Amino acid sequence: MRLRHTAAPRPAHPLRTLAVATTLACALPLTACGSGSGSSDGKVKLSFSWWGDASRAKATEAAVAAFEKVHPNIEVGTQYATFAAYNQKLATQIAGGGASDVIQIDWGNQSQYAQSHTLLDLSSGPGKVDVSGLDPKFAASGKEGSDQVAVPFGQTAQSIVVDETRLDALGVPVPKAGWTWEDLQTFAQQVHARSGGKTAGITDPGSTWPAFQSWLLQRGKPLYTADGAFGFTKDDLAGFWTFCTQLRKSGAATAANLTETVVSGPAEDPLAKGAAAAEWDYDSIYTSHVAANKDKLVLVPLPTVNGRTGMYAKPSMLLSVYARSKHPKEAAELVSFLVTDSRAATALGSSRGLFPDLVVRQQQGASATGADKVVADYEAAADSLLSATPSAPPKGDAQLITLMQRVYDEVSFGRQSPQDASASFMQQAGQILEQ
Amino acid sequence: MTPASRRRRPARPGGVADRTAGYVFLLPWFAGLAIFTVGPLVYSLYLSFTRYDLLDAPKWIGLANYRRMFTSDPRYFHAVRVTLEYVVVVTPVKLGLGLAVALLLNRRRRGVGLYRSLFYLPSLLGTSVAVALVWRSLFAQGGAASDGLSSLGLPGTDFVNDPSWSLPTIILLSCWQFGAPMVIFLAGLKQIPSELYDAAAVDGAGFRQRFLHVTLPLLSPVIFFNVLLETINSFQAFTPAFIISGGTGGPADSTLFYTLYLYQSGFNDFRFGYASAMAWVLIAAVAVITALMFRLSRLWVFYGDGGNR
Repeated sequence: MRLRHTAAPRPAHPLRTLAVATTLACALPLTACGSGSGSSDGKVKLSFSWWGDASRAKATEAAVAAFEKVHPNIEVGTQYATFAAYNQKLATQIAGGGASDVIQIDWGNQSQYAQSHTLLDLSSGPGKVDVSGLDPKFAASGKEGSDQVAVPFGQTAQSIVVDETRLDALGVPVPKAGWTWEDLQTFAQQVHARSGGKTAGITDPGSTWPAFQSWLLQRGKPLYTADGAFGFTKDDLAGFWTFCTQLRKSGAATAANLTETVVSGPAEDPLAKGAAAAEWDYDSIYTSHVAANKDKLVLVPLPTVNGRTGMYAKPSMLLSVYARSKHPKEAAELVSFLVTDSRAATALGSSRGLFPDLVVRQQQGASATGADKVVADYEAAADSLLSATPSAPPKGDAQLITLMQRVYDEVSFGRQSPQDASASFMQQAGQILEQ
Repeated sequence: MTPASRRRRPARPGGVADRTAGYVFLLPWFAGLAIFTVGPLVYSLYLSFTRYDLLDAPKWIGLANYRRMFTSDPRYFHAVRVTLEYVVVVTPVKLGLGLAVALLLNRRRRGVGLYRSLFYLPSLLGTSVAVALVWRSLFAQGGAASDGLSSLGLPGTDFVNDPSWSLPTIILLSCWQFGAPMVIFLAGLKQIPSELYDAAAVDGAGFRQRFLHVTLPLLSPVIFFNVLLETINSFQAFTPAFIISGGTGGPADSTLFYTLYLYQSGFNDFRFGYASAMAWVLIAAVAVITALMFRLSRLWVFYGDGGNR
């Protein structure tokens, strides 16, 4: 028999797993789109990366095209991905020294990147960006110490996205500003009952980290203290989850398996599937919800406690220039254009929330149509309801978003009580924040 | 192996020049091996003793990663359990299916070539992202599987997003891809001399006896090879869990495979030192299991040359 030849296994196979981790880490920066350099036709080539979905991509491409028209000597290459994938890729690119010249960053990651000197200071030097047109307090959200490491690329506020068409069909009135959590419970219960159990009133907010932040702010507590520790206790979290569990068990909020799909983005979530009539989200995601949904959607402020909404003006995302960019001046020009130029505002619409520059924002608000108008009107009405913007979240915040989803799974699938789960959350979150 | 075949391989007469030329031609391969395999391997061994978040330089922390893994990380043990469950179910079921279908297809029949290709097809698509995506939409709520069950009056579930069904869904996907071991089984079956069957038939052996006393012993090296290969592959399963759970290992960590947790530790939590340590523990574990299987193979694998290794 000659079979022994084939029967001899190749010991190389177990090594393959390792290769996944290691080669990826080493090879990605090599293939990734590196910093652009001058090209033969004399044009400066910039690269710009962001996260988002197809509808945001369309708006962003249009804004970039407008920039290239004004600056014919600059060519901008763009790339985008979904939020989670984007952050993974960006970290790898930065480690390899090959991030894009202009990068969109999340507020939750800002401290981490700034502390490792990845982001260029935009307050002076070759990469100076004039932010005098922005609300100074809002522009300061991009500061790390005295350095302007990022410029807010849009202002957003928390909201409840409501499916008006569905509510009309069910004969349930659209909730009004100033409603309470009890009102929300009644409303959601009503939707559940009148739809014959087919539609939950609201997508279970228990897995949403920023929803919990607003819940806390309404009760006068911050998510983080000034020195980056938690401003709440295990009991606060257990209280939030107990409320959500009560909603879910009565059918007022979505079942666990539906809540799972929230991570996949508006196109696959319960609101788009008609399994929920309302959903917690930032208003900067509204246009993506509209793109994913045939029904008419409206924005409603969060339920209140003693009149407090716990909403605040948040940078939906920020723009930074990579510290190792070969073209800091041109990169800064692109950033500047994207946050202050009215042509950028026209192209971007409300795909990232309100436009940063105040004068342009006002013009834009006055002439907005469709989804952009809904967001502009919502922000204008919500302005008086906003709390003070907290300082930038500490390093590790982005991981807590996923931790929240994971631990709440244990609650929503009925494997742990809200009390036990919140204890487990505090323990695991502690490890992340200490890191 | 017969002595004759050994004798056919003459000692190489080539001189130094020949050998040098050989190495020169091998250079590109050696360079690739050093840069893309050995280099990262050694580096990851170093990283496993450090804390490294990609942004700041690695910081030496000795055995802390390994200690944490074995003493204070319940998720680690959970991932090990999920992976073992997967390996223990997938390997035998997949091989059993592969062998059964190979036996069916090992006959002269019209269209048998077509069947072979059809059964092999899923394996070709095997590790692809597209199949995992299709699987997800088939078994998610509103997908063909749950709708089909409900139309039969059975309770349809959201298999993908239900923690008690998500792992079985992935196991099913893997078992469906039994084509690769099947093809190897087929090749092995073809090698069994038909005289042995004829002789057995003359002695009055029925199908069962022929299978037990002719097919199985002569096929045992191939079975061993397949068991080894599938076990190692199953330990490394990643893509289906990653795609079907959307990268989370969810719902409720029910599909948190070892490799997926390794990936998350690195790319979500930015603990590349910890992830490297996990990779090395996996290598060590697979090496031990492989060695054990070789040891055990002496008891049941029959090499036709009468050698008793």
